[in-house]
Amino acid sequence: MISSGQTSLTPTQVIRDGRRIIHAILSDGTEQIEEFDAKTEVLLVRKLRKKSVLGKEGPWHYEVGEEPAKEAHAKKFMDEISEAVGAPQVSRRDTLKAFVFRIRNLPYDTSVYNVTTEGSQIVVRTTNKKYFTRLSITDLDRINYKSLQQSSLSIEHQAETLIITYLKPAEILEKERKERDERKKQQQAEATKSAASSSEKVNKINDECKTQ
Amino acid sequence: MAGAPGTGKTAIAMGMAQALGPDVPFTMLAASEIFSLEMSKTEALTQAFRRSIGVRIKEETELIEGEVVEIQIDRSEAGVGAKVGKLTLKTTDMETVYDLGQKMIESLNKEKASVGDVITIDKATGKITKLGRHSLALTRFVQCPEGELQKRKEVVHTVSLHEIDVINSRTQDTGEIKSEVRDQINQKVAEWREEGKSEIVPGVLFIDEVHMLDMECFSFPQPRSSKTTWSSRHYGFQTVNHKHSWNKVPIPTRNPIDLLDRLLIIGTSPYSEAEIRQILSIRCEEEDVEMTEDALDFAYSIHLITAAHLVARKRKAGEVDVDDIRRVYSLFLDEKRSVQYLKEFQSQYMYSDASEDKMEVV
Repeated sequence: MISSGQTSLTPTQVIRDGRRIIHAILSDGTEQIEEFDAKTEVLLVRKLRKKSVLGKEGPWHYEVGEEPAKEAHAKKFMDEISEAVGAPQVSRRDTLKAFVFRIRNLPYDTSVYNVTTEGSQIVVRTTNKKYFTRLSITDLDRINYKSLQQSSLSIEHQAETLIITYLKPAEILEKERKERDERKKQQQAEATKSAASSSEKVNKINDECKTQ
Repeated sequence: MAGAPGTGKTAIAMGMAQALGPDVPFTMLAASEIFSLEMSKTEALTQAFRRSIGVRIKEETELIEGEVVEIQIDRSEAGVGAKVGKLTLKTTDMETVYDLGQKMIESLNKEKASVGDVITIDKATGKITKLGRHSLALTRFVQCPEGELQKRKEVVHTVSLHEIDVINSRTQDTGEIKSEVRDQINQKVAEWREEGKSEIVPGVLFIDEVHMLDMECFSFPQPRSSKTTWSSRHYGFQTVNHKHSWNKVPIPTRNPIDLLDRLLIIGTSPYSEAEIRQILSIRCEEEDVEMTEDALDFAYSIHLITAAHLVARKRKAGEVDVDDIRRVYSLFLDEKRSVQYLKEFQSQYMYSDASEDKMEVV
């Protein structure tokens, strides 16, 4: 059943509260849930969960979007060590054209940040040595896109938040367009199927009534 | 192991556990623990066996590695309630403040971590390791780490088969575990072993008071131990502790004879006077108590050492003397004397108006 690509053949799809939610098991056993805006098709949440070597269920890891505050708070309460509330926090919130990282709680001046591309990663440095991180764009890692272009990168700083935008390369734009079409097709297929099966059910019931 | 009570059978077990080190699983249980209404005997035994077999495996964990910039621990005014702690760590590139829980504060205190130390914290287990100091002090000099504070690292650790069972069984409690789950795990562990991903660490299962075990318990481990490769290795290690009177019954009554034939029986004999003297003097050394030679003759019970030391301290003496022991002897009652006491003053106790023969029956 496992396809040659990333996902197994049968991801399930539902639309709930204006979100298209897709649940899939990846070929290495990782569980993945993606949530798209049903109208604009923008990816809102992508979370992954993997079992440990010993079989313990790990926590959800949010690649895109953020953990609901309630869950995050509960987790923080359980943890013996966790980053303080005021510590910088990275989250990714994409648009259709670009990957966008937001790092909150960075109060320093715009001139402090030095953001560069290094191979497949974006590296954020601060001249005052207060913050440092390496950001991976997992979507690009998955298609083995290794060399990021500095020219596609732009940063903006407002309201204590550093916004890093990296324009999606043509390969990704093409791939995502195809996936969007496929999702729509699958949704239509499912809709007609469920309609058919419900009408079938009615027929069946009628048949059963006849035999009695 | 067989021998009269108080001849050191359990002490040998404890010593073995110490000598084997923290990596070898050592399970100790009293035979009476097996008889429970909540769990069948076989389940309890299986769990005990599986607790005593370790699997050494690599797992990826999240580590926080950095130099301590500040430790701040606030206690509430009343001195009760949870302490709140904050820890600031840095690398050459960044600095982050962490909130600490109660346990983490304790282990920070235990490790005596202070400003300038380079430490790692295992996020999953909360274990703190001091790598050295980033200063020109006398201790090991370590560079302040570079890059991000949080790292992913592969760590080798030992878990018992039972722990893997519990992780994988639906019910996350310590109740009975389905045999299918165990079969799956056995298979998985065998796979890992063939792929070289893991090693089996045979451990020791020590059963105290084996005379409590019945026939069913003895018939159970035998097929078990010959079936799987790791169990049989482990069975060689298994020690059975007899609390049977050595001189009275040459062959302990309830153990099947064919099992006994295959065992190595280690006998323990009562201590001689000189040995007891030696044990006492070792014990005194351990407890930092100085004792005169004469006093050692009287300190017949290990439990009197500390008490006698306190008495000696009260009269500002450095050494415990015979008089101190005498004083403690008069303060506390041992079993024989308390029985005698009870008999003497029986009439003054509650319910003493009940007839004498009834009391005897009780």
